[in-house]
Amino acid sequence: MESAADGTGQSRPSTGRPSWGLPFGRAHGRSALSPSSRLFPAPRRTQEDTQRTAFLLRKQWALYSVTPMYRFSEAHLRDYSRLLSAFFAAEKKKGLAVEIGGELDIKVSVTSLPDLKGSDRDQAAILVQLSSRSSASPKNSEEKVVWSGWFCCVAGDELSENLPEAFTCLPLFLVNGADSYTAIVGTWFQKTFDCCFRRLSLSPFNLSWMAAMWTGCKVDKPAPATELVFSVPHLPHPLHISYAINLEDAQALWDTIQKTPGEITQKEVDVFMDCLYSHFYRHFKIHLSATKLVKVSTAVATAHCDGIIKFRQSQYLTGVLMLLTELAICQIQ
Amino acid sequence: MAVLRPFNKLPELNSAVLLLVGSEGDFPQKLAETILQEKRDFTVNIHIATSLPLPSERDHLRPRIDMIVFMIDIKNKHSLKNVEDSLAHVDARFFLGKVCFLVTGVGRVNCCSVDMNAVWKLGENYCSPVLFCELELEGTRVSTAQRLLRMLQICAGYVPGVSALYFNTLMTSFS
Amino acid sequence: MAECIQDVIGNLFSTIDAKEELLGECESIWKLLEECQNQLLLLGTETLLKSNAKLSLLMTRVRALSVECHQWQNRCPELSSNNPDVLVKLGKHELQKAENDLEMMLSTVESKNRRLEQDLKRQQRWLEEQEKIVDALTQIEQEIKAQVEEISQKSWKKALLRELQKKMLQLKTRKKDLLNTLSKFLEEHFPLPIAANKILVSKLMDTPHEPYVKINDSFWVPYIELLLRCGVALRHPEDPNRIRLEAFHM
Repeated sequence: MESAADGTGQSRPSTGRPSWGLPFGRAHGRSALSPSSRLFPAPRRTQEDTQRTAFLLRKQWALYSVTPMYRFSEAHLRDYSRLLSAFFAAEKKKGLAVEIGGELDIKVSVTSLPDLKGSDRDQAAILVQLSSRSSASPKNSEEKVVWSGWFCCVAGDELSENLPEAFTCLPLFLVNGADSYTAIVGTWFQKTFDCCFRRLSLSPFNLSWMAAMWTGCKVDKPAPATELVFSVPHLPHPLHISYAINLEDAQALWDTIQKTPGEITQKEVDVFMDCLYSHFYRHFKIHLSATKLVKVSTAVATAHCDGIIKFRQSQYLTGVLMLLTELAICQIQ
Repeated sequence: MAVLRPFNKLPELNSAVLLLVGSEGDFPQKLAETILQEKRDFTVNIHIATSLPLPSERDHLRPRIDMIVFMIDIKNKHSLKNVEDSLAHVDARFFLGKVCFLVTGVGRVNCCSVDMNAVWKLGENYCSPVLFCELELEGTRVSTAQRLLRMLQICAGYVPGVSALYFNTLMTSFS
Repeated sequence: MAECIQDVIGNLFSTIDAKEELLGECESIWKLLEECQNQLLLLGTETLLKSNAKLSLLMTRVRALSVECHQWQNRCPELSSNNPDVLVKLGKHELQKAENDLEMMLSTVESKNRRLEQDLKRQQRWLEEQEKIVDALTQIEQEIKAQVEEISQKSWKKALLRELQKKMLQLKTRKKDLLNTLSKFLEEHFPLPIAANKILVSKLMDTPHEPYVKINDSFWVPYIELLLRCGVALRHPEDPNRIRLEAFHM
């Protein structure tokens, strides 16, 4: 009697080569699969929130997942800024980060954003900003922010509950700015707090969840149309199909599908996407379900499968961050 | 007759027939070639179809089918729908051990378009085992081919003492 | 001779008989198969609806499994033929297959065993190393404890002071020697701005409590890097513009 030997038990670091994802192995439990329903919080509308977080909107953020940090404390943020500035200057002197166009003085600021969290159990978000003043311009000119990155955790209970005392749980890291600076900041954090950064990519499955979730959000007019971009595989030349849907029509469709406000089930997402696909098929005779969804663009936010997100509405910021935090935690585990 | 039946024809001597049902791409082809390269002591015929029902014109030329493998590509949501639609054209008696679901493309987690819960449910509802493989990597392709060949051997009755239903019960009771 | 020939002819006949017997059996089994097939064709087809697939399938399985179980219980092992030649050949074939399977299993189990043994050895070695470390550390701890006791017990203060002073002197002279050799070495191998060297060394000797030297652009940058890399100089942890000479410990 032959034993059913399973060939899918190994795991290798993912660097673009095929990696054995945990959810598919039979030996592992099915707890790592996506949930059958998710909650989406109602929008928050406080004036101060919008002002403080306005700088987060309309910028492209690259997503990373971060493992829990060891011995990170909010009380020492100023010390961290100083140490990080010193690290930057040292790297500069090494001759690695050579900038063309005069010496740039990099100043680091590490601050906390207390508004960006889901509940009181979550850790407050931490913002790291690099601002520079070119040596050519006069001494008292404004400093320009050249790079920003922020750690946050929204509703990350499943990870933070089981952590020992000395660890801080901030699983999501968003970056806007040059890659060289990202590398330097990342190296410093990894060395100082013994954590690990990994690029968070969004699978077409998760992107379809986002399309459904965010279409249902009520936004002020005028609002841009919902757009989905698909890439067709197995062709000699890459082909992208862009499918734009009028926002009112999409919302009307979603309203007929969603049963409980504030909660979205897998079935509802499937029905929504199937309606869109069959509509497209009726007109163009192309099965969109056989292609790969690469980009979702709605009035609330834009997401790309390489792990790039752009926020458009500050009132739904927490909701979007909640989903992203969940995906980051999924990738860490 | 559009529905596939397990015992509607006499078997051929010392041979077994496998039917691969899966959507586009050359994955079924590659898998078939790998299976045929394995060492065995009976003839294996592999038929490939993109969906069921099979065209009825050639029905009289087709031999008795011993095992059906439904292939689902994880990067392609359409393949899951295709398989679900094809299941309606299979006689209920096939599911007593002669059907297996094969999920391909699991190497790239980031391109997953299919809901894994739905795939597990499919396996549970039709009481058939769900196997995972990555056809682009030679090692797992060969081991998957070996597993399928062994299952085919049992389904065609060439392993004395083990029936297809018995093996199926063994496979599905540990998931 | 005649007996031999008779035996041979006898064997030949028996082999032909055996073959005919086998063929006859095959034919009868095939007829049985065709009858069963005809009966099966009389059964209709049933397809599964998506909604109650699991329920109807499970019920069919229950029926099929119980029938199979019943059949297995009623079945007795029977010989397929009574011909001794056939039996011998069959027996050999079966035994050969069984032997092959068992050999394969044996080699798999042996390789598994070997791997387990290697793991065990590795773990044991690790355990021994850890125990040695623990022993060494406890020994050091005991020695230090003993020293502490000694010092606290006896009133050695003056003798201790003298000893410490002697050690300090030795260290100082040694340090001076090392610095001299280092500067000679550096002069020899790396043409450097002499001013920098002098400033560093003099700063260290003059102000041992403030050994940091501010770097400015007059220092040759790669030289600074070399000093850092060799561990001779250290950066001030907070201010990247200052460095100091690493203290030489004995």
